Amino acid sequence: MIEIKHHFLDTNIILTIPLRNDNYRDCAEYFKLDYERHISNHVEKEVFSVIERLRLISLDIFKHIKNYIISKNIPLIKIDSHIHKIKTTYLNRFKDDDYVFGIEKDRFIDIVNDVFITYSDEIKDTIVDNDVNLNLLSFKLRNLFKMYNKTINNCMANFDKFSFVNNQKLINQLIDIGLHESDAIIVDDCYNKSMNINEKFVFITYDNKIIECSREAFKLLNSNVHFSKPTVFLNN
Amino acid sequence: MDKNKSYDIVNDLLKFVLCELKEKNMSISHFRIQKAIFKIKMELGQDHPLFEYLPFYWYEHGPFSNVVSKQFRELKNNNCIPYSLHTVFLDDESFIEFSQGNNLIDEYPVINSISDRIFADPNLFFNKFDEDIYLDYAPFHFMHPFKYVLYETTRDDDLSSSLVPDNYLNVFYDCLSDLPYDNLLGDFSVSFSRLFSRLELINDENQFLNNWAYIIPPVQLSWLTFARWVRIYNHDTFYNEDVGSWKNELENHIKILNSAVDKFEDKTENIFNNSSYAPDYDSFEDKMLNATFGNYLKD
Repeated sequence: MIEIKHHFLDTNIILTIPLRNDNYRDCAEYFKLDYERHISNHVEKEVFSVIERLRLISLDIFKHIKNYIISKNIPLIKIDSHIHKIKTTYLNRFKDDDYVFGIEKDRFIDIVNDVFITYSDEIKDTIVDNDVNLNLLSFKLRNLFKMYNKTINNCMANFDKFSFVNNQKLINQLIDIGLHESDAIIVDDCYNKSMNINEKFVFITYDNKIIECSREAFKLLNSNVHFSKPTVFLNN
Repeated sequence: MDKNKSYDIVNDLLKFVLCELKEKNMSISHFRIQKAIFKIKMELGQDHPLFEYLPFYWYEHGPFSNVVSKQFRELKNNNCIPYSLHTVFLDDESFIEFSQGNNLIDEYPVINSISDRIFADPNLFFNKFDEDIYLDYAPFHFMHPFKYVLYETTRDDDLSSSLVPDNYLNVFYDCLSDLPYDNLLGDFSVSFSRLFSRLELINDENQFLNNWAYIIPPVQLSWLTFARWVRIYNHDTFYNEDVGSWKNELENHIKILNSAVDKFEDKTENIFNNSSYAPDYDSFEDKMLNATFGNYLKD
């Protein structure tokens, strides 16, 4: 990878910033490197949209658990199978949907499974004690998203943000080579910025689909925009 | 269903209600007359033969009926109701004419006892009457705090002058937590949630009240947009043919709300800028972030 000082950040790169998981340690290292980082208003909007969708899912799961526990007289024996039933009942609500809360079904199911695992003890305690543990967790959830939002807001203030009127023709061409429309718009933003300041840009993303399309997109965008995962820069 | 029969029944009921009010020397707004007729309908109960002929849907100010509204306009156009901005009072001539006999009441005298009860309620002259309609009949519990705390506070200087931001945000979060899942409502929910996030950030910086003027438009639009969804969700079959155009209107309103939230975010963009902010997430929070964001981001 040639050295390019202007980096345009995809939504998924920004969303990883608050994550402490080992999977995203590379990203934390990448952000320690000195580059001129850019985003667009579309990236910012998409970031907030994802945050809110994930919050809505979490709240909806909570509501379901609460309603289920309140409305059913659950015997303490076989409590695990009841929790499994609560989860299955929840997922069945969406069995005919390809997207739930605007998120692909497979990812949504993984989220629901993991949230139930994360809250397993608290759900059990709530069933056993019939108390208000879930309300306390709801409060914690509110606080968590506030912290996450603040972290993201804080980081984005450090990036150069701009907005352009998109070129629909180019967006259609990007869609034709396999990008989703929302990704195509963001790549077009990157291209516009690179043309505007007449510098080469690298589009930083974790999205394999975009990376797969990068060769064709690179040709289409007249070699102005390269595509890369953040890890590439750590090897230099 | 026979829509003409609906118009006839509503016409008779409206004349009866106006006569009752005149007899008791009571003058109330036509919005409240709508609610009084809705309450009569609900007290008659679902099994009553008149129930389906009194068609309502839930909207910006609670239950609303185009049929009541149309019949009311007709009476006004016929000069049965002298022009008044706020309240409604039947003229003497019409009172004499309408009082002479009402087939509907003759057939269903139970309406008399129900209306006596409703018109004896001292709250009829106050917002409490409307609030009770929400508390007793709204399709969702959170509609009452959404309308009477979040929305009305933006329209009433007395309410906003005593506003406690923390309490306001608690109500906001409760409403957000109770939003139903529906494909038509998805983009609204995201905008509403974005609005909440920004309000929380502003409040943490003690800038809530200073930005009240900017807060008003997106909050008002939130309620008005939700009202356009709730009438699709909860309406009598009489209005089924209107649902297509209601959906288009909802879609437009969601776009308007979206841009209002965008503008609000732009105007308050620099309120939070604390470069030293780096929270420590505890293990529960880490697990929750990985369950949600981790799964969303994984390949």
